[in-house]
Amino acid sequence: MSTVGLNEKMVHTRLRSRFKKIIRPYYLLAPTFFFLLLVLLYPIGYQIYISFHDTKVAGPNVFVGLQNYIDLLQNQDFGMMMWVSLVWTFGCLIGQFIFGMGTALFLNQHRRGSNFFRAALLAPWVMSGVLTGIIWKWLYNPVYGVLNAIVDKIFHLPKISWMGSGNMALLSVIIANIWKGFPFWMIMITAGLQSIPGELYEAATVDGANHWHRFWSITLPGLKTILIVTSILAFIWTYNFFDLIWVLTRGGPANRTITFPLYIYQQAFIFGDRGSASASALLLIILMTIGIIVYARAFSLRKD
Amino acid sequence: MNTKKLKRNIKTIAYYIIVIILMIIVLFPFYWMVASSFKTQGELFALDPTWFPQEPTIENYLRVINTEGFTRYFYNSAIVSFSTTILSILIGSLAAFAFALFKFRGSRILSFSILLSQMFPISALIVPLFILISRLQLYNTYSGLIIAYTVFTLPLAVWLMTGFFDSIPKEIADAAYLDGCSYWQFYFRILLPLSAPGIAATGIFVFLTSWSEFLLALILTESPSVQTISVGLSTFIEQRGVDWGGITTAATLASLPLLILFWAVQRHFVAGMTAGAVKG
Repeated sequence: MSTVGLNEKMVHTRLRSRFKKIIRPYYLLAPTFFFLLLVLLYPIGYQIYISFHDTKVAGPNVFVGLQNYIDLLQNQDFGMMMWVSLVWTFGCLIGQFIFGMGTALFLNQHRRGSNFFRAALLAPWVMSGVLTGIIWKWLYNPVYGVLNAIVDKIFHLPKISWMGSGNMALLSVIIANIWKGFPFWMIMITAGLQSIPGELYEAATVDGANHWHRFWSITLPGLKTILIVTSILAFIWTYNFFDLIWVLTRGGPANRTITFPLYIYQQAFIFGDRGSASASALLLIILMTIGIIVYARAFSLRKD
Repeated sequence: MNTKKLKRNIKTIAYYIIVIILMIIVLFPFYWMVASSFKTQGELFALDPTWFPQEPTIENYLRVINTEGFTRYFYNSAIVSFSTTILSILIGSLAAFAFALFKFRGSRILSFSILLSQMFPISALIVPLFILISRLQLYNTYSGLIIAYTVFTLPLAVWLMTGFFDSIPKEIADAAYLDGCSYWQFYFRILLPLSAPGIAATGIFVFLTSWSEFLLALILTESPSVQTISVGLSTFIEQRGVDWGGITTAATLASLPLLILFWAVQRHFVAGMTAGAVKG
């Protein structure tokens, strides 16, 4: 958009002046922004309103000030949910990063079929959250599941109760999401790798740098921008991902896999407390925004 | 001389062995889903799982396809996803037209706000959205879902189509202008046909997103006559918790459109996504 040449600019102005009287580009944007305002901005406003009201009583909502927020912070489940959200988000991101980086580096060779392999490895990412949940629920089945058969028959270890205990269940949902999410990292990192000029590596090799040196001093710095963008996107998606955990564990056992979106759903649609759900939804947005700002700051500071 | 060649061959062989192991690990869950759908009940619940179906059967498929509720979920998903795709492309292409071919005040901030809304978490809005859709009398209707899906797919549609429209050579717009082409003629006769492949790719992404969506469908619908396949599958797993033959069959059928359509557009997709990231 920024590379508009002189000739094109002229056409733009001509097209514009010609049609200015009939229609302005704002009319073209009107439908899009009408829908975005109706279904995004209005609900955000309503959410703020409702988070200050008690909605549990019949009749008009009662203004209760910050009571919903205070109740939330005193709720035991809330602390558990914050902890689970943290472990879930960072566990998934770290796992996806390692696996995505590994596959991207490995497949970044000019060999027959490497494009095909990359495309095939994207398949898990195309799966919906619900389908991923179903596939893994069957793999994790404690009695008939194939993972336990492998553990038992091939490694001769005791069978694992994948979804039984709290920590194991959390680890299991994280593994399933690493499987689903790593291809996104792989594709983004591949694009980043291909944008690093090959001469840099040649020069480094002439200077006697080994693989590890080249990775640290050329590859990682060259990937910096794309890693920041990818990790922010992946952070937003993971932090707000409802479907997979819902199908696999419903937040159980005993709330040990409950993350922010499941908590909001539970408050609103199971306990019927919309005020509290709205308060936690706003906290989700605020914490997410702070997290992203701090993260982006930390990286741009290091550059200076 | 020959040792160098030998070394290279060994490297090549090692590469392909590692790739094959990687593919097996990553694609095994898919294989297991499909293989299980072809197994008999006895084989599924054997204590020694079999790696290949011993007596492949389509009994599970017949049973699932003849379950009336299941075909209905498929049908609902198709209606909702198609309508969303058409609406999103129609509305989004107008906005993309404006962003790609006009210079106007506020264009940067408006396109940035579209990008920002793409990142907004739906899960944080489920309460007010539920109330909004209920107040509009659209709870438990196709229209309610279609409106919600249109809004959540619009930002990506606008973003992708702006890119496709941008890549149309500006000489063509120039020539059209000199030929006295009107504004709408330009849009319908030149812009849309020329970017047909890009629009098709955008449409497929919108379709895939709608087909996969779960949370909104869960809160905005309640009866099987309007619920989509995502909700249907989660109900299926609840009601038939032990019928893994049926569940894996349903999952295989539901993932076919995703895998086929994605394969058709993966080139566009990878290019579009990474270009956006490098630019942004």
